[in-house]
Amino acid sequence: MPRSTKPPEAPSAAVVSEEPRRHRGFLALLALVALLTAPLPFAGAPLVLAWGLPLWLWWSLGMTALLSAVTVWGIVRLWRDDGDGYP
Amino acid sequence: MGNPQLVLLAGGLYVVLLLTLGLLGRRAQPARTLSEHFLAGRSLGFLVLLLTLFATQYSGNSLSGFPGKTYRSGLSYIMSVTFMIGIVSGYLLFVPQLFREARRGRYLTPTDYLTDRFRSPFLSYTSAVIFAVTLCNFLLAQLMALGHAVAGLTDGRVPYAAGVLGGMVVIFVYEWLGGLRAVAWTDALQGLILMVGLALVVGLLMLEVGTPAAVVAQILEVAPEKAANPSLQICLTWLSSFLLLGLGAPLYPQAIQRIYAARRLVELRKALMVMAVMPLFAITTVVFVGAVGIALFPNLDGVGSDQVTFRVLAYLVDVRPAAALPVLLVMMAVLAAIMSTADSALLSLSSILTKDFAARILGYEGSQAERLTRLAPIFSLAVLAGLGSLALQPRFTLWRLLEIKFEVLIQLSPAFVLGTLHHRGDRRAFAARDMTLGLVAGLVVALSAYAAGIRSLGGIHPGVLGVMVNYAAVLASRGLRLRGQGHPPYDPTVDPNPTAAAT
Repeated sequence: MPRSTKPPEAPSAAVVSEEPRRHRGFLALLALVALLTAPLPFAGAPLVLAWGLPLWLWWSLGMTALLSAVTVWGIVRLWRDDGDGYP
Repeated sequence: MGNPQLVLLAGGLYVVLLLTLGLLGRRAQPARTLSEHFLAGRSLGFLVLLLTLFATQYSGNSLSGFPGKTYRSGLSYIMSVTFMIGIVSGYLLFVPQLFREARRGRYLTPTDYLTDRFRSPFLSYTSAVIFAVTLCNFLLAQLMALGHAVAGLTDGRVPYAAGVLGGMVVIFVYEWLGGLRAVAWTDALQGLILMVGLALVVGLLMLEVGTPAAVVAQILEVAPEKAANPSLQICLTWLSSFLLLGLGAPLYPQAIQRIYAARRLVELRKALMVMAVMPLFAITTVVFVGAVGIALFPNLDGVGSDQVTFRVLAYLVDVRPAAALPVLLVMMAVLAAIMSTADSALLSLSSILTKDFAARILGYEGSQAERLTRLAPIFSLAVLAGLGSLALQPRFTLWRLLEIKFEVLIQLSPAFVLGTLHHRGDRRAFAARDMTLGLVAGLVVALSAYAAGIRSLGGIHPGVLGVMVNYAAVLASRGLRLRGQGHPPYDPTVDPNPTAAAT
């Protein structure tokens, strides 16, 4: 499974296309960040406010912004239109 | 709410604009074919694609149901921002390959991919039924939201039923005139109104009610449990919702058809990049509306909470009459969101009834199926008549409708995510029997739980449990098959589908 984001030099019938889902590291990162969006570390704890908003809300919004950034990064860097897409 | 004459004038202008775009869409069609009608001739560029994806994804449920859900659940419904981004993340699991396959096979409906890939009548018909049921459910939710929106906008002067029926007529006419072209152009208009409207909502609420911190302070006074740290069960529901929408919503037939309709891959990628960022602004705004609703009206009941958006906007006009014009635009944005989602669902449903049922039952293939273009409006009309009559007797909250459809739709996820992993000739490829086994197992688990009245198992949705069983069954079936049978080695130079490639 190629991990380079460089386009292939000589396209052929067996060229492997780049796709975000074919990068296991990317999928693992996406899953981890998605898991962290849930405020699990705050479950059952007393409410703490930071700058007027619950701390768990800051946490979840921050992780959600990170999820957005990771998704955009996957589209920009890992999704190319080379070959027929199959490994 | 506001000046009734102004509301009627704005509503009338909006309807005229929609019908004009329908006419222009009709003129832009080079031929009256299924591909032109349902996929706009596969010609959607970046901007229209973005706005139509935006307007389709941000439905009446987003603007009416999500604040209602925030009102009922509290601030923890900020999870909706996460799962709306998760939808775009979910696209990355199969869309790159599906886009290529759609170009090669000239697909029209999502079922076309499954038929081409698996060649299983059972799988094709079952998936078509699931897509159709999902769309009926989705369209019904939009029609109900439309009735609530019109009633809320006019403060009850135009009753719920009139809102449902009037909206149905307008949607049918412009869709019949211009197909997806008209729908995408009206979506673009509606998407623009939606963006401006959402920005105005934030500005107005911050001015009149207070900053988010001030709203949280008010919530802590009137309903402190709605700002409290989420429990473990809520966190599990959060993750379950992420999976439910991340795997389920990318399978919306109308979303898949927009992917088919993209002019070029680069434009599709750009549109999805913007879509991945959009919820940070759009859905946060929507949750803020629900939070303001908690602070202002802490004692609404179940169905009443679905109208919290309109109550909050009515409050704005009451406290500051000068806000009437911006609020009017916001109300148009709500109407726009509902109508744009409804028209997309209707068009997609019509395409499935035409191509996946009528054409297959009649045995029409290729150019023969083009004869059925004239049937599309008849199907649309029949669907609207049936669902319109149901919408006139609302029995569920909007959120309940949304949940039911995902429990079923998500069961098709393995067929797309795993089905697009390998070339059909690859010995590792998943077969129709693997997918059928998984689909049946997943549906049995999800629907049994639902029929038994189980809506959540420790915070996990029945559909998510079903899809876990589904994926496990698909993987186990393939594993057993590969272990028990010998296969010729995979030769990537052999095209397994020469007929499709030739077309």
